[in-house]
Amino acid sequence: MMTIVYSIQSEWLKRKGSLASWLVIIGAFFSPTLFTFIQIFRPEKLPERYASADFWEGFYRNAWQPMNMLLLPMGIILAISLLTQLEYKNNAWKQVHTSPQSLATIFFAKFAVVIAMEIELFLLFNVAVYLSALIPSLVLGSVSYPTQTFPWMFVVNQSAVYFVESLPIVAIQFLLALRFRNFLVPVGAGIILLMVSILLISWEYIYVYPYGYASLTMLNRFPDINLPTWAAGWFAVIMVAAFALYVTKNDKG
Amino acid sequence: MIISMVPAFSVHCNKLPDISSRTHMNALETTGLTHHFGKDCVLDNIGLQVPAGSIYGFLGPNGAGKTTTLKLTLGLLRKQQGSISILGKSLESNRLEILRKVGSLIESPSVYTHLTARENLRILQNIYRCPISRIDEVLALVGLSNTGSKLAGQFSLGMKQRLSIAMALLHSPELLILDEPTNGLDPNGIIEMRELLKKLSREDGITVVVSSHLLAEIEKLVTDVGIIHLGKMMFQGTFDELRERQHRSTVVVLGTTDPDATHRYLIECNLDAQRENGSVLLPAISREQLTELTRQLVARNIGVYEISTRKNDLESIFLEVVNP
Repeated sequence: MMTIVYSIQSEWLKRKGSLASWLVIIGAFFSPTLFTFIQIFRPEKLPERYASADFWEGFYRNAWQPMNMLLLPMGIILAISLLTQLEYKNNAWKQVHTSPQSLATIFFAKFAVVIAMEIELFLLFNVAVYLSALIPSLVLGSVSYPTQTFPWMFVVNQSAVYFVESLPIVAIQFLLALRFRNFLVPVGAGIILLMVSILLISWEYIYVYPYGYASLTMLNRFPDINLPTWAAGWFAVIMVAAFALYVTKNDKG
Repeated sequence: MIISMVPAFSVHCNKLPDISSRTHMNALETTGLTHHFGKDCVLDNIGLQVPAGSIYGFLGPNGAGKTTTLKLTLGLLRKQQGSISILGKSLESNRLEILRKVGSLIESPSVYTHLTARENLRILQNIYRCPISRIDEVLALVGLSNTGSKLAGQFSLGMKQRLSIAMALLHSPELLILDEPTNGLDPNGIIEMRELLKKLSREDGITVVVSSHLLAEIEKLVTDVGIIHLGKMMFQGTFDELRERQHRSTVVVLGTTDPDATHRYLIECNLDAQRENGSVLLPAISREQLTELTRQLVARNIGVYEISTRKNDLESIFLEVVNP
C-alpha cells in the first residue's frame, strides 16, 4: 500500500514547474479573468443582476459555459499530454521502468496525479469564478456584494457532475499520451475528437460519444438520460484498455 | 569547467559488502538469449556471464546488440527466448526484488530537465526509500554538489551523464549496468569516470557492467570482457585471456635477401609463415628457435638483415574478433 503512496509522491514531484502545472493554473483563471474585465468595463446591468435572488447559480452556470464547451477539454488534452510526455521528452521511461515499482503502481500513480491536477483545476476555477463575482463589487461603487447566500451545495454538485463527465476525455487522453512517443499524436487526436463532438452536438445519439457529456448536461440536451453514468461507463472501459495497452507494450525503454 | 569526481570519493559510501561471498557466482547471467525485431534476429543465443565483483566490459561495434541485451536484462524489452538471472535469481519471477539492487544507465541520460539535480534524485529517493543523506553523497561523488538551483536542462551533456550515474548509484546497488556511460564526457571526465567505477568495484564490491564500442576506452578499467558482433557473442573471458590472445597474435618479421627461399624453408619447417611486402611473417617463437632459424638461413646462403616482432594492439584483436 505504501508503495503506491511513495510512487504518487514521486510523480507529484515531477509536475513541479512543468508546463502542465502552469497550464492548470492558467486554465483555471483564464475565463474568470476575462469575465471580471468584461463586468468592470460594462457595468450597466450589474446592480440589477447582483441583486437577483439566484445570482450565484446564474453566475456559475455562465462561467461554466466556455469551460465546458472548449477550455476544459482543451486543458485536459494539453495538460495530460504534457504531463505524461515528461517521460518521453526526458528519455525517462527507462528510469521509471527500472525502478522497483510494478507496472500497475506506475500506471495508477501517474493517473492519480492526473486526477489530482484536474481536481486542482476545478478547485481553482471555482475560486476564480467566485473572485470574478467579488472583484466588481469591490471595484465598482454602483455594485453591491450579491444578496443571495452562497449556494455551496449547488457549486459542489455542479462541479462533481462536470468532473465525472470529463473523465472519459481524461482516460482517452491518458491512453494516447502513454502510448505514443510523439506529443502531436495525443494532442492532435484530442482536438479532432473534441471538434467532432462540437460538430455532432445536434445528433440524436450524441450521448454515446465520450467527448461531449459536460456540454450536453449544460445545454440540458438529454434530460431523461443519465449522462454521468454513461461517462463513468466509458471511463471504466477506456481505463481497462489503457492499462492493457500499457502493460503489453513491448519496449518500455 | 571540469568538476573533479575523484576528491569526493571519501564522502561515500554506507556499506562494504562481503566480496568473497559473491566471487563464486555470476552477478548477471543470460542463457540462450535470442531476440528478433520483426524478421531480423538481433540477438542470437547470447550467454552473458558476468562474475560477481567484476568490472565487465561489454564490447561491440554500434548496432552489435549491446543495448538490446542490456535492455532485456533490465526488463525494458519483453524477453522472447532464453533466460536471465541476476544476483542469483530469475528476473522473470523476482523483477522488483532484483531492480531494488540494480542501478542502470541505458543510452542517453534520463533526467527531468525542468527540475534541479537534487529534485531529480529526490524522485528516486522517494521510491527506493534510501536515506535522504544519500542525495548529497551521490551528488558529491559525481561532482555535482554545487549545482544548486540550476535546472538539469541547463546542464551540459557530461553533467547530465554524471547526474544519471548519481541516480543509478543512489540506492547503493549491488550491480551497476552502464550503457556507454562516457558518451558526452571530455577526456578528463572519462578518466574520472574510470576511477569512480574502479573505486566502486574495489571498495563496495559493486559488480559493474559497462558497454562500449571502443576497447581503448575501457581496457584500463575492466577485469572481464564480452565481445558481441551482429548479435552473436564472439568472445567472453577475463581481460587477461584477451591479452593472451594478443600475445598469441604477435608475429616475427624476417627481412632476408631471398624472401621466397626463406618462405619455402619455413613452410618445410612446419611454421605458419606468410609473405608480406618483401618480408616473411611467422608466429612468435622462442629466442632459441629464432637463433637456430637464423643460423639455418645463413647456412643456406640467405642473408638476414631484419628480425623484429610486431605486436597487435588490443584494438586489432578486437577487430580480429569481430571480423574473423
